[in-house]
Amino acid sequence: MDGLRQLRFAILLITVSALPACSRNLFQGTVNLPNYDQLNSIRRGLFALSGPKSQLVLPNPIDAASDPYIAITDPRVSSLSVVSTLPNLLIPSRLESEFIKMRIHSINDALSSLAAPDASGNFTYSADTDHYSESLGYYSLSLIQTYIEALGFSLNKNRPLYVFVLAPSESGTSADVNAFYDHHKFDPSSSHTMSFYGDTSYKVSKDRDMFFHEFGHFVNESVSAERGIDFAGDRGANYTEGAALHECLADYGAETLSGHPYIGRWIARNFSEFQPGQPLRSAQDTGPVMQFAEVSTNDNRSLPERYAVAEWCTRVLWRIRSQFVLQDSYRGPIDADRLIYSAISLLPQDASFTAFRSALLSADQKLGGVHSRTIEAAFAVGGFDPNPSRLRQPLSVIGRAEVARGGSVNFNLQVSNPNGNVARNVRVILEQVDARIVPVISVQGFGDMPAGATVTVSSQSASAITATVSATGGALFRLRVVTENGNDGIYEGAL
Amino acid sequence: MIRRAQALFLFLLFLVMTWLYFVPAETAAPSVARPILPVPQQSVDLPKPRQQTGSFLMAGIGVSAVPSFDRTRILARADQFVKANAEERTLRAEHQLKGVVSQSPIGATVSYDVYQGQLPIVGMRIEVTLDNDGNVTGSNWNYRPIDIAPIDASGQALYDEMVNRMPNGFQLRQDHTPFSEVVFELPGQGRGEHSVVVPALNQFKSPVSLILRASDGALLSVEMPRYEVDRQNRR
Repeated sequence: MDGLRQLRFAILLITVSALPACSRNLFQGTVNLPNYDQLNSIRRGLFALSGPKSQLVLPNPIDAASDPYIAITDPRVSSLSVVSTLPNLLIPSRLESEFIKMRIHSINDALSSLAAPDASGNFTYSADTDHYSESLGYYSLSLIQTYIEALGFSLNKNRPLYVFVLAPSESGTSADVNAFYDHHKFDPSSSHTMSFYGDTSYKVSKDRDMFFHEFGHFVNESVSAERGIDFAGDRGANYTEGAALHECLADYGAETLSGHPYIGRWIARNFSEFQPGQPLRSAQDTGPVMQFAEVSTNDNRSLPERYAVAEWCTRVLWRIRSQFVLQDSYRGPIDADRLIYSAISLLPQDASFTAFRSALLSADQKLGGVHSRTIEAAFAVGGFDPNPSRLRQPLSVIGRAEVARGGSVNFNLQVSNPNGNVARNVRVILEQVDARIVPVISVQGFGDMPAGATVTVSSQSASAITATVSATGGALFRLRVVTENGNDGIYEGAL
Repeated sequence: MIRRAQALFLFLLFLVMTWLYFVPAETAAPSVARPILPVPQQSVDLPKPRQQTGSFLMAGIGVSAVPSFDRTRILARADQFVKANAEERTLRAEHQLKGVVSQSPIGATVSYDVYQGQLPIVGMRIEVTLDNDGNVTGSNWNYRPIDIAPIDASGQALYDEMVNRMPNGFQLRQDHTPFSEVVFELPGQGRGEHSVVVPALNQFKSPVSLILRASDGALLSVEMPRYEVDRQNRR
């Protein structure tokens, strides 16, 4: 009897001792499997159990009607709408959650001018109104937020996100179509803002996927712990691989959640260079496979451009995703998304495509996957060489720096690749070595420079490097030319 | 005799379980004992709402809840790590840290913004990464114990002064985006400048934020938003 008591005591002791030890292990030592049913429901738009309803045309009238010529005022548009739930409203009369704040023009909009529910508590508007855009925006942003969080990624919602569905034109023309996401990285007391511009027949804010895309920039910042995957771009660089990556990942988020490999059929109707129905960017090759060199080369005639490089990048990601879908059409899209967003969490500051490729491979390994060959092949098919041959000598720089009115410094430079092979991911960095010269736009990226190529860096171009100077008289500056496959070139001068 | 042995076994078992409970995971790896510099605050309040900002600013509402994670515990681990390294990294007592947890299926990152008083110091941050077992796997200390230039003027009078000192090529934005104040670290100079973040338009009429030095209006930096149509090379 005594022995039995002791045994019970021992079991009790072990249990009691072990319980707190177990409860301490809250870091989920193994990678959790996602809830595929829940995630697939979200993907279908079934992500909110309760809330007011809205009638929305998803993703936009052109895709909903499969008619590239349909207009927002077309009588058919209303018949294409589906009932959509608007979840998590702080109060039932306003399109605001704790995080998402819908506005029309600016942060100072009178609340009485914003969308309000009808007698039955729903937000029902004709698609050609701004209130419809508010409703579509709130729905779309809630959906993608829910999806990313359900995938297992936290979003930093310390600051609210204000969304302006028809921001007043800054350029003086109401037909200036654009969309901006401003993270306010250097000003942590400011809200994040998302602004849609262009009072045209094809307003940007009539397309769910554009909301997905802009929110993707916020996701990129949040998932990468705001370390600045394009920090140079945040500080004014016109082109960097990090900028292209930012756009690529924002496009990918919209494309995977929509389930179609393109973005922007609606917004593209604003631009004459696009045929009706042609998307702004496509994640799938319809002809020969787009090669990295086609979009990344800078020979002073053909300049790399962030959206073109982003499009190439989405094709790489769509190849990876397609392989996942081929293996399992139900789980594949979700597993691909987990892999790609996990890779974002591993990206360094001012990320390159080489770093992204490595991050994908590393994320796959951490997720216990076996997709390294798929990842490597997706890049290889796109003509990306992760191990370009080394340069024999650094790139050279000649030119001059001039002090302009107001104490600004303009750099007019010629950067040359004297080698017999391509210089990968060339950047010019103005480093501060003298307190009198403060670099303002201190980094510019120039893509891949072919053998023997020379690139002009003009103070009048979008790729200008700028600084301010408080006093000359021998003030020193240093320019560093960086490539991925060679040693840095360092050039110093004085004002 | 057997009872004594059983009692001894249970006692030892109790000791082992107690030890397992209280010992931190990090002590599994050899560590060097060092005095821990007290860091006055591991988190600070967000800067006070500015006078002209209206009602849109709000206190931090926290990071989204991902049910399977324990954000508090992750933050505590990272805090512990930062405290343990504060002296070696010359973390100054007047610099406060505000930690934010970012979680993913493959781990977590705690990033700390650095503040002095109510002002964020632009350009400095500390990052601690943890694996899914809660072990610190790395850190990045983008931190320097800089001196801060004295703050002579602040608030609306300072903002009005900055409007009069807009640098060439930029104009003030008219969309009522508020001004705010930060400390901007001049790279390699060992000091931070009291600065104002001013909403502006550049020569392409794109919205940007300028960081102007409070003392003389000198342009220190430009922050660009993400835009979809490149106004310089339209696409």
